[in-house]
Amino acid sequence: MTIQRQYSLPNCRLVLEGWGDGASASSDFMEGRPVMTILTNAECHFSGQEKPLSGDREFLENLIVSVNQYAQQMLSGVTHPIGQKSGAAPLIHLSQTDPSHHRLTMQGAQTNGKAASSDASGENQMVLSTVQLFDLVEAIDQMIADAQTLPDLYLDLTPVPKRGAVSQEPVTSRIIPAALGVSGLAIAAIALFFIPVPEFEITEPEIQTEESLENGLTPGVEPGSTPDSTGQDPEEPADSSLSETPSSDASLPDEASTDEAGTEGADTDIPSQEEIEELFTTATPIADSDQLDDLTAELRETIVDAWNQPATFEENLEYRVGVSEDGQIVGYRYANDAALTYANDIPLGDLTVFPSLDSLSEDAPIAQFRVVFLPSGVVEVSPWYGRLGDDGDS
Amino acid sequence: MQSSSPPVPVSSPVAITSLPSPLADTAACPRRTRLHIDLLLLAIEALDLGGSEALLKTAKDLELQGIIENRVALWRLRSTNPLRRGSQRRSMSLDEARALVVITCHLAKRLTVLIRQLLLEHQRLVEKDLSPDHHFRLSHYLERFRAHFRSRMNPKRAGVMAYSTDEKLNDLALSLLSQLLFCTGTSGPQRLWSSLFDGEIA
Repeated sequence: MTIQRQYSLPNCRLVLEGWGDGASASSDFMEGRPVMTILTNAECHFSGQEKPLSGDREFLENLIVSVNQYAQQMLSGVTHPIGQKSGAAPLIHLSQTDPSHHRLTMQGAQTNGKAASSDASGENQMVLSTVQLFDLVEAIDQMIADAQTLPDLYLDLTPVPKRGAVSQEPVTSRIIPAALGVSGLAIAAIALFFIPVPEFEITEPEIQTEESLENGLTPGVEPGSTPDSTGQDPEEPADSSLSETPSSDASLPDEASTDEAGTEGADTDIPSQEEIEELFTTATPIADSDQLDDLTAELRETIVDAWNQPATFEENLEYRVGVSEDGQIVGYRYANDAALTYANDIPLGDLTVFPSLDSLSEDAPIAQFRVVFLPSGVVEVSPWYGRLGDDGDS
Repeated sequence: MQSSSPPVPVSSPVAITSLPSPLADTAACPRRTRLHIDLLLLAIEALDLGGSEALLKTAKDLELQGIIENRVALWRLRSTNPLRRGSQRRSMSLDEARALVVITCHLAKRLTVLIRQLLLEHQRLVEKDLSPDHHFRLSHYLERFRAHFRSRMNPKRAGVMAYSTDEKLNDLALSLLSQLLFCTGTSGPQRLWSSLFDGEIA
């Protein structure tokens, strides 16, 4: 007797007709639902489509393989090699027309005249939305999961191997960057060919300083201030305000002092340690522990990214760092002597954006962190006050 | 663990036994696997206001605490996504990935109605040539997804820079939404699990 099975979903209905196996029929009738082992006809109705797709077992197997491959392709974005296990050309082919539509093409000519399509081309095409496609996939999955219907059908969900994986990018777009790189290098080489090799003369350092001063080649260094005198120069407010620890000036590396002399104009915008201290004490602290976690992680990553030179110091450098809500470092203070001595060897100075203090100290909240640079090259970041929220809870 | 008490079967693996091993059992998950699972979970969080709580609760309901013990463990696992801020260099074991896949599909199944509704609405808007902002619930999802993505992913990573505009993030959110739909099905976990290793096995 004929058995009919239906797998219905809102947009797709899969109808199978066939016979049970005579041998097991008697026991199956006891359970009320005989096993369908032989398929005579399979129909696949879609909402909004007049004619169903239909065919024999070959059609069904093709449908399962093609739809399955396509669904996996949608999930992973990795193209599955087209083709059936048997090696025959696929009767059913799916392709994407746009991100939310999929074209299902069925070669009608090969399906023993059972194909619904009577087109001259022998092809039956329909465009399915993603939800319709999913309903088709789900109908097939339910049918395969149903042990009483065609139990010999199974779902092949093996990931495609590396070799089979086809990159989604077309070859041309993969070649373009390489071609640009090579041609760019060539152009640069040609351009550099016309630039004369700079001549290099070795001169005495002192003479060089005098000459450059005369020629005005080092802007910012005021006539009369020689590099030697920078340590005690009273004209440098930033430098004198730095001197919280008595030994700091003497131990600052020379080039640091000259740097500061060189950018004296800009220095006036940089807040002094006292101003930063005031900012740290007056600004509203950020207490939200989630936000602190995010800021901690972000700060650590920013510093680790920027700190790419080997550690030059022997002891831990400890800083108190203020960070605004958007993750910008707005100021930092030295928390131990070594921190001041080696201030130029760590990237905090470069990372700090000095906003105008007036705009900040009013109501902008600031999170403060203890940042410790270890000689081993590790950076430790932790909230300066611990977690305010946690203290309140406990 | 409950393996000592005979009436209760060893519970934690049950939920994940249906997922085969595509790689050697000791292997760690490839980069794309870690990335993709985290993005799908991000989409779930954008769909469901209590998504992150639901994640932990589901882990408990499915008796996966042996693999995902608590919030910190979950956060660590998700931080194996290479695009995250503060991404961890720690690896993700196959069992950990299995647990996350099962949880993802479980949550997606609970959200089936909403996922279908949003996808149908999007399709209607596309047919009328309207932007997703015209549907309140859909634009709400996209907005939340963009906010989640921007706050958690490291903007310096090239993989994140690729999603610099709202449109590109919307496309990503919509493609994740249709992927979640496929996770809701009968074989959802198996399909998702297999897809995570496409092109990754030797």
